[in-house]
Amino acid sequence: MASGSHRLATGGRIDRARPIAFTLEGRRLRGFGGDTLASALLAEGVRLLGRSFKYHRPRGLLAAGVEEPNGLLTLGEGGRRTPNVPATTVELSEGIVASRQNGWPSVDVDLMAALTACSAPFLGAGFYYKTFMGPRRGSWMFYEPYIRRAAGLGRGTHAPDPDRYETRHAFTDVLVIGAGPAGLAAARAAAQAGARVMLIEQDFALGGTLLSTRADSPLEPWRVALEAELYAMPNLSIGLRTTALGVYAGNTLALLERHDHARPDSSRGAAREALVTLRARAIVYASGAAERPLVFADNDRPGVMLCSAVRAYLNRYAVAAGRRAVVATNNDSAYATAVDLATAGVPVTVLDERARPCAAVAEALRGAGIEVRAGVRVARALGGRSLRGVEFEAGGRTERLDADILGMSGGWSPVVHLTSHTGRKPVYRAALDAFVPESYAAGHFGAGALTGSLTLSAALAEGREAGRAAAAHAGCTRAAGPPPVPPVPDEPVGFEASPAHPPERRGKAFVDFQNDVTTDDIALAHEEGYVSVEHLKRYTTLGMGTDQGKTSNVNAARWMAALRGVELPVAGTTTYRPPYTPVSIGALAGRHIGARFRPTRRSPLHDWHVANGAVMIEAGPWLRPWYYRWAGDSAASAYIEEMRLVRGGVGVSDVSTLGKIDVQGPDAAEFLNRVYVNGFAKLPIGKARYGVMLNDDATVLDDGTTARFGETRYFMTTTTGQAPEVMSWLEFLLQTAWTGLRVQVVSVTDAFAGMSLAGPRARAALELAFPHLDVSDAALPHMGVREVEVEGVRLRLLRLSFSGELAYELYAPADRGVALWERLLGRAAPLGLKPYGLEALASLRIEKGHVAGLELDHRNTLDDLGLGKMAASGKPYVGRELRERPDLRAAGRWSLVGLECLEPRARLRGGAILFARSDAIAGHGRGYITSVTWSTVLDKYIALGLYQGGLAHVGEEILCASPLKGETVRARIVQPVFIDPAGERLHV
Amino acid sequence: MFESRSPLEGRLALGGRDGAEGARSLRITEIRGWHLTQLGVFGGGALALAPLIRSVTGAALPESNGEVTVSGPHRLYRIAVDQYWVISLEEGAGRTLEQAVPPNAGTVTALTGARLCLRLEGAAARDVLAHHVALDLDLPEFPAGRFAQTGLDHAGALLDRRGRERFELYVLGTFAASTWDVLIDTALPYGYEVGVESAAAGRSDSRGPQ
Repeated sequence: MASGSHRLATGGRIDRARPIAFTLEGRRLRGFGGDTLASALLAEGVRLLGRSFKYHRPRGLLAAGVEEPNGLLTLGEGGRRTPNVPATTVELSEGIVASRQNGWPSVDVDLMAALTACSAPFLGAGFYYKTFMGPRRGSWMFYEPYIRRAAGLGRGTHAPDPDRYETRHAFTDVLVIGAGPAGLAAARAAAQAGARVMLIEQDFALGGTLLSTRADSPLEPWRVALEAELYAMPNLSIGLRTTALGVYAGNTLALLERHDHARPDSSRGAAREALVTLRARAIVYASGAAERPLVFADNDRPGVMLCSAVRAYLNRYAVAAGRRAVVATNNDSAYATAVDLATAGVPVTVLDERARPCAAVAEALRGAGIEVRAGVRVARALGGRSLRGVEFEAGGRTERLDADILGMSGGWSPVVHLTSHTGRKPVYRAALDAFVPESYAAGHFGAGALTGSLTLSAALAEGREAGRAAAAHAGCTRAAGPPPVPPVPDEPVGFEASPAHPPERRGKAFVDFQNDVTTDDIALAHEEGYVSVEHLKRYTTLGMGTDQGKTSNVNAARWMAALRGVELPVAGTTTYRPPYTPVSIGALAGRHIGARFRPTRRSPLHDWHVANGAVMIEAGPWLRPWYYRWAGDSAASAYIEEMRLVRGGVGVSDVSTLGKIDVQGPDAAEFLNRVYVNGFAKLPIGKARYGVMLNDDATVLDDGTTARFGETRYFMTTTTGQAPEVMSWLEFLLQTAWTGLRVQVVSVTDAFAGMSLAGPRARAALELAFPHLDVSDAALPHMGVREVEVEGVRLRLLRLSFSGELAYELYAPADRGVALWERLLGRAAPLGLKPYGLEALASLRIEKGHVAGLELDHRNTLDDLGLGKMAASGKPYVGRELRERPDLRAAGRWSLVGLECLEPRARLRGGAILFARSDAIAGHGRGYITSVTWSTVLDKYIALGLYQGGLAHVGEEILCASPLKGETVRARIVQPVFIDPAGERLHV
Repeated sequence: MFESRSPLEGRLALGGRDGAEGARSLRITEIRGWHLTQLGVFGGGALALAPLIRSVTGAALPESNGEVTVSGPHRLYRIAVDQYWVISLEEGAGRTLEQAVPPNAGTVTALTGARLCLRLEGAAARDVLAHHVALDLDLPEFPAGRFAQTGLDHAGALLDRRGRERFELYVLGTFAASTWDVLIDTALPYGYEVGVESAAAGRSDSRGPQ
């Protein structure tokens, strides 16, 4: 080994011809292609990787993969800063900027460690439930900021993320999850059977545990050949750096693809991550097994690692994690680690808990000069910031060994997370002292270590069979070849579960490393009655870190089972939920950010508005002109000018967003008669009628007008906001309730551009625009409708008013909308015609007392809104029966009133709570204001609102309270129609 | 004159862009000059109406979902039970159907302005669509001559496969600009060309069942 470095001079699967530079807290370091950040740091002798969550204990790497609980670093700077990234999952690439976490002022010199060392006895599980509750109610809110500052690991950033994230759909016949031996065999067999196969692997290389074998063993060329065979199969796609996050109903999975290694350029559209929603006909789970730690005092010292990790660093990355090793185990798999260490020149001693380990294996090790001690248990790891030695119990005596690396193996826990997402709880298998899938959903198959088969030959055989069966399930039954034959014999897999209790020692014995949960915490939870594993988890936070307890869940359940005096299967497991590994919010959001957070609907006239001084506003999914700059620089002043335009002259407003539904058929009249509360059966051709429809619980669903253009042709308009719901409702009624009616309903909202021409000069404007049309009062009376053809284009003309002035709605095919709009504005310019926006449109109708969306909130009835007299008494309609419910007929319901502001210097506010003069201003009051506007006619603020007892209180002075603004304003209850109650302006 | 205007005018003027590799693997074209009519049939009356429709359009009423029938300038789609689309290159096709279909047999609704047609073609067409539509776009699963009703960016759309690397997407007019922006954004790494084409010019490939 080079001096100061733990990198072996030869070996490994790294690319020594490709050196890679990176920094750790500004210190320049070096690794190679094929390294992870963790292996590169280990090679450079960086052993202290952070401070633990609660106790600020020094921590180093425990593992080599996604199960790593300790080696969490912050990567990147500025908007790319990402905390809590396991260094073991980061493929080393040029220019990585890394820093360690949770030490102040640094991880190397952490003053918080001294503080927590003193307070450690008080920091057991659940301490915050007991220690920060006083002296007063609400004291927690005082303590919380300090606790937050002291707790946590990495720190994120509020800077905008400059990277790009994508979402995508994918489909396949067979998905194979995991590219270890079982997965490789499964993918091969499924592809041979003719299926479309997708093989995904969270690592950046294929092979799984094969990558941890010596690179000069016969297995390596065999693995490489198998890999080449798979890459050559045209019906097999391989996704490296792809993690299955979750399994959902309908064989749908969420996959996360990572592309950091390629340093994606977002300006060219390259994504850093992609979230793939994959639908597979069949799934093979080959997710392997994770090694369990042993539990003993101070088992968290840097240098204490899983045996599989020691072996991976040694054989895959050519890194010797230490110079003097101890291997502690209760199973045979650790022996291979010992042999490889010795071969690499690292002196090693094996401490086997079993009184009688496999004799042949032990003898072979001894023959290679490796000491094997049987029937001994590690009691404590010695050292502070780094391991110095190991204390163990042998035959009732305590002995010590010097060591700077302790590889521990407590057995193997199949990675059952994904199979459990389907709702199937795993079952206990005593031979592993762990849990395996009991059964699989239809079309799902398991293979390899996941099922408890720990030998290579078994993994290959099971994988082949699972792949074949999955392909058959997907309908692909070409004969698959025999499983690949490994060139070496299987490694031994004997195992004996460790005793339930670790040797008694002072010091903390960690079960969950990331959340600093010890055996004492589990005992405390038991003592306090939190004995179910679900309660244990929440009370101690065991398994709730970013590693989701991958190395702790089974050990914790064993410990609790022992305390309870039950077997492990009785203790069971907690519920596995997605995501399997942390996923960035960026990947979940994909491109649904900023302006693309949701789709935007635009009127056919949108571009004209933007080009001609409209200030746009979001109204639900729509962008609508809020006001126009010709009227003023702010909404507050502009809408008043626009109102004056309509009241005194003529204005035109874009109403294309209104829902429009084509209702046709011989039974259309009957259909409308049932849907609306008022009669439509006898609506004449050429007339429109205002209608209100109810939900079947008798609350108001929507209002609008329906025009009859032909014997069997009707044109319904709805409010903008309710258009989709009304359309769905009509279809629902026709498809389920009234299947015998000969009616078709078609949404034509997008087919038409609509505009409202309103004001005393509206007819004159229309005559200027269409001099050949007779639009006199006689030819087109109030509520009259006509279809006309102008220059080959069919237009619809309806004399309707929302504003209370003489008004017409014009509808043209959407692509001709701008032309019609411009024609109106151009030809009627001498009359002063200008456009007006949504704010004025909404305000004008308040003066006229028309209810709209703010009043139609699905809680109000016809009578609440003053429309009860509309309901026909002689016909059935939706909601008729439930209108009679006593609650809906009760006196004193909140019902529609008008309000006039009595204070010239004050204003009324939407949402203000209404009180009688004699009421205390508290609670829900007697109603609230639904809509407010400045009235250009009355020269004061007016409003519509709902008030208890409604119009029975006309003339009374009440109070309008806006607690958030600290305002209370006097107002008088009046009739809700503020202008022209007789409707004279409509009938000119 | 009431000239026709597309909501995509401004966007089309921006032109195309090279992708990450310097190529342009996608062409997005607004197709104009076609006419959409929705035909509705009353409960179970499709069989009786089918001969009339064939006499007017030359095409059979499709009998299953996803099936397109074609005759000359007319393409027929079964979009729901008792509901069909007739997409025609003939401007008067809708009026002809209105006059031909008896009111007690069915309904005819003009929908031309309600939708825009976007053609996506090129090596990246399938990949770009895969970002948004939850459909298996592999050729055996979704061959040319089939269509599907799907969602794209939370809005309904009809996707008609016209060739191996050629799709036509009918999107709601009020969502068209938003949909365009989404597709262009997705196409960024692939590179894209944009354009406008007459429907009559481009309808030379892919025939469905007559």
